[in-house]
Amino acid sequence: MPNYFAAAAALLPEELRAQALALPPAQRAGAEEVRLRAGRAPTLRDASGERAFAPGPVTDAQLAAVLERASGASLHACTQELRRGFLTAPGGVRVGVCGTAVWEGGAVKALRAVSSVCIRVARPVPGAGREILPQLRTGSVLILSAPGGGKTTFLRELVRVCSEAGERVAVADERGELAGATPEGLPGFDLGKSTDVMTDVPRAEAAVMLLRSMAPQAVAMDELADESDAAAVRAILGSGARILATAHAADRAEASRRAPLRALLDAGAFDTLVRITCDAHGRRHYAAEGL
Amino acid sequence: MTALALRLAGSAMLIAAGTMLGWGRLREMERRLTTLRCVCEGLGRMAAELETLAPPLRQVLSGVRDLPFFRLVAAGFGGERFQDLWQRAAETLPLSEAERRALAAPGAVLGRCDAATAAAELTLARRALSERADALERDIAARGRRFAGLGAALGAIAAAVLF
Repeated sequence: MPNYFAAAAALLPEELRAQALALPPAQRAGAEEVRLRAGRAPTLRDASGERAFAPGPVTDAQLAAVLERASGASLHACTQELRRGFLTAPGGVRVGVCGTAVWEGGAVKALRAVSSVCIRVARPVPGAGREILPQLRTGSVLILSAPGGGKTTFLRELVRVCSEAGERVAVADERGELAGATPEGLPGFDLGKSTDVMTDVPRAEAAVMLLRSMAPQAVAMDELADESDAAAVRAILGSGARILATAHAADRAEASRRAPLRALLDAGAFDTLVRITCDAHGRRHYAAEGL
Repeated sequence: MTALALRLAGSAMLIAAGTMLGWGRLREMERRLTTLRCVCEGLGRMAAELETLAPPLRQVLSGVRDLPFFRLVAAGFGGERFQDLWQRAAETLPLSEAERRALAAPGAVLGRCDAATAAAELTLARRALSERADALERDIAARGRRFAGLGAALGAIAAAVLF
């Protein structure tokens, strides 16, 4: 059984790693994020909140150590990701990076003076949302939740279930988070027997590439956001495949505040809306609504 | 006769020892030169790779692991902090302190900056070490043989004094 927390903790500098791995098993099993903020104590976030796990304060050298490990000492090869504020470490561990932007030509060229990092503990949750999965076997699906709500985890499970049932699923895995790609580019998570994954390509481009090359019956895209994503969704639907996608929004009203998503929803691009919510005890609830 | 033979033998040994000392110094200079040229080649190849494709550092290092210093860095990659690894590898080389410092400099920026800056740092180090190598090569040509000759002469003088 892979140790997902250890994979995330492996990015920490030695002294913090030892303290993180010494936490009680229950705490490690429930951890969703490890956060390091310069000058503050390092924290662990789980369903019940965020707590310090070591005295701190986090130093610049410790933040630099995380970036070195996450990037394979190769920030120069991660400029595309860094411009969008994250790195994907081996195993699909996403590391959010905050700092001061360096601008060039009206666009973010790089991040410097990193002030905080957020290491997401990527782990599959077999059976997540199983109560609604049967409703999602046909038609296009849009999965909504607040940030950190479990959209990617649920999408991963939906892809796996559909693929295991024989549906050809293509995954546009821009950040390598869905598949948890290894350094060799192979999926680290089980996405099912009939799944093809395109990693490190902008998801809209990847979706079109997959349509042309892999004849998918379903295409999975995580975190739809802009017009290029919307165009890719239209292309997918035009080809006869269905779309399995997520977006950052608590509900349809919130999603509709963004023009590209509003246009898709209004055009009937999706057949089912899934909302993931979290209760006071940290338990996730999945609700499916036909559109 | 015996005393004469002993003195002759002693003289010969002194001359040989003097010559050997001179040649030893020459060999050391030549070894340093070979190391410098090798390091310069590796730095140049790394810089070129970063300027064109900018692949991950592990891949860049695999392209130069046929060269001694870089083989050590490639073998230890991913373990300790990269700057420390690079520094530690530099310290194993038969170079002067100034040359080791020049070689260690890129280790502080590699992997922490954009590809153009990394390539520029490597090129800077390569240029500095290349100049050292050129100067050493001239030194060897001008003084190397003199070391050997000087060693032989000192040995002969010592032999004459004793004799």
